[in-house]
Amino acid sequence: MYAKKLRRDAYLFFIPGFLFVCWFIVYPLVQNFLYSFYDFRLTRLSDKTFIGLDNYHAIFHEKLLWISLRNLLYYGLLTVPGQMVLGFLAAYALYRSFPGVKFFRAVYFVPVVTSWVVASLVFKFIFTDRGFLNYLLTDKLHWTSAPVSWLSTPFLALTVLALLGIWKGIGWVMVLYLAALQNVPQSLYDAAKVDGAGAWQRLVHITIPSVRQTSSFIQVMLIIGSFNVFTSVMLMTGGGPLHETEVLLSWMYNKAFKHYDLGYAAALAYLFALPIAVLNWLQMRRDKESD
Amino acid sequence: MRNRKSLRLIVTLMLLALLAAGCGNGNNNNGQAQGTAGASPNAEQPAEDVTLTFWHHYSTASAEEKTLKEVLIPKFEAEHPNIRVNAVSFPWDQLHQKLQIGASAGELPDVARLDIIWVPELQANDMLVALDEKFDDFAEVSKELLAGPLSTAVIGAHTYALPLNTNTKVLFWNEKMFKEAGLNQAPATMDEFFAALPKLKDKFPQSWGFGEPALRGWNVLPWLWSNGGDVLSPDNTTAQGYLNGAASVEIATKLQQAFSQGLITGFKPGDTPVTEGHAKDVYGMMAEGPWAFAQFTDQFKEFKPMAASFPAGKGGSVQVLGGEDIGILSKEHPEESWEFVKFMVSEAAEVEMGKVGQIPVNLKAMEHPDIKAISYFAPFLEQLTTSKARPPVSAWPQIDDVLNDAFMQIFLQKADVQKTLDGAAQQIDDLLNA
Repeated sequence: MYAKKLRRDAYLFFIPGFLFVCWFIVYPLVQNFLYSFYDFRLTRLSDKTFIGLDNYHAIFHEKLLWISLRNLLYYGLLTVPGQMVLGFLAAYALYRSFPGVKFFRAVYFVPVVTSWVVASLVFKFIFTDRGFLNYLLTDKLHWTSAPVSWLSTPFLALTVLALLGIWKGIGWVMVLYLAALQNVPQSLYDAAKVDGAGAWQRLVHITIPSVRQTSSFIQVMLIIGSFNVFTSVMLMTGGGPLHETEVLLSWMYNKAFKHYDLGYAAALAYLFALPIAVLNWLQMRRDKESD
Repeated sequence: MRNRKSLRLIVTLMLLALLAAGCGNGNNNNGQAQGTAGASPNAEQPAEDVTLTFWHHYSTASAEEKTLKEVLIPKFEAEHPNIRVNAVSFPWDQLHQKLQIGASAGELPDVARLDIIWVPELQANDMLVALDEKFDDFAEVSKELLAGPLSTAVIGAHTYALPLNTNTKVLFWNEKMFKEAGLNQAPATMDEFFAALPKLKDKFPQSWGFGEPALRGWNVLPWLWSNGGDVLSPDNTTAQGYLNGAASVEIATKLQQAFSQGLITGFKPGDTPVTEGHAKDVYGMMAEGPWAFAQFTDQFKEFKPMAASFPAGKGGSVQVLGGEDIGILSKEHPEESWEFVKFMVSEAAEVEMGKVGQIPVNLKAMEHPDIKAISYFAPFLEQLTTSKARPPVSAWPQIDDVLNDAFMQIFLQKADVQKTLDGAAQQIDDLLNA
């Protein structure tokens, strides 16, 4: 009797949260999925037509699909290893206790809590044609005779966006590695020292393998993060020139809020949720196996 | 037991609150945050106390919005004690979006300030009240206004808005850069313009001779028109033979060469904003509207702007006619909206807006001593005599995108000019025939 009442009370606690999730997450997700099969325009909200898979079909025939995928791949190839290597190095340098270590940890973490908007505008100021970097390269160091067009040359612009992504993400990676490094047993290092292993060997054979699980988690999260790059692209290049720096989210945003094509944007959202879902599933399976 | 009852009561209340939040209507108006009063545009008001919502894109950075909120609206409200005006400000492009989406969502203002190029599109979507049909005193009001700007709101047999202000662009030239480059005056012709560019570059290798902030119709049309080219045929039915005609291709090729030699820029991501750059000796010349004077006065007090007519080519010195109309979208308060529209185009309101850089279209305001005293209006008034309006076709916003992409390809990707403009002409024809 008591257990039954307890279960009923448990449901009462559970229902508000469940309703909240249904209303604000499940319902929009389902509705969005349905919209992806409609010609549904923001300018004609009450007049939508079922068009089956036409939106998905159109996406695969769009040149921008390949441009934005190419850009995401390039961005991911730079930012994922970049953040992991630099974040790990920062954590490795700062995981032991020494005077001032907390200060340095805080400094490395500052970019993580800096607004994307502020960081993007600062980077834009640095990389504009008459910006700080060109001033250094051209006017002070005389390495180039004319200013470099960082933000209007597609691959340079993507590289700048990736640099911003790396700068913003090092602190987050560092914090995760700091936690992982604290858990590596000191006895392993002591034993290795007795066996005559040098610092490099201890790093390669003890430290890196010991934080492998954290590395795999970070890797998946960063890949998902690179799929979600948006604010910096919109603020620094707007996807231009000529859509050459467009990424999936900027493309989706433009489709929804500049061309008012909500059905197409919904299809895009679902199409690109797939690889993220697969990655998540792989990560969860790997975690389960290693447990 | 008592505790359990209280718990159930709390949970039930929470559920009710959640449902109430979820079922809340969507009547909130996104623009309210910037509004001067808090009423919803469609709120039921007693007949004797009406609140009008006015969407506009008067610049919040300059004195325009301040004049609207602190001078004009209080004056209107004092003259019409039963009408309040809730003015909501948007950036230009966002206002266009809000109007397009608002029609679908059923959330439109009573009155809106409209760029003259939006009027055909909004009229095609049946959003605007035909003023000449609805209001008996229309003829009396409209005869006080300049005929050219008034024509921008005439579609078919009716007039769907009244002109609010007019503008065009003139050539700004940086006197200091010109003097140092051995040039004494602004180029009067296209040939002089293209000859001046390398001279400015030689003297200022880190700068550019001319800055063009974008490559849309507003930016490229003056070049095409002044060289005798065009985007569309005179009857606005085709772009074939016009956008890809010899005169258009010739000037596009010249501009492409100038860009590849580093003589012009301003439209790329990463370029210095053109008006700011002109004051900072980054661009020797630019084509801009009267608002540039307001920006120089506010931000670059030391800079002495110099303005001249746009360089004349085979087609003359032809700039693009800009400006704004004011239209009524209200289904509930058309009469009160009309009172506000009449007030905004009245001599007094036009003089006030003229003082902050908006060239008036009210004939009496143009003759007002305060307006006559504004010396920087002179080159614009002269340029207005040869300015042309962008084609009044409802597909113009999409055509603008096609032009932008085509010219971006020509400049940034060094695309073949003839082939690119052939492709663009075809795309435009498809839009016109859609």
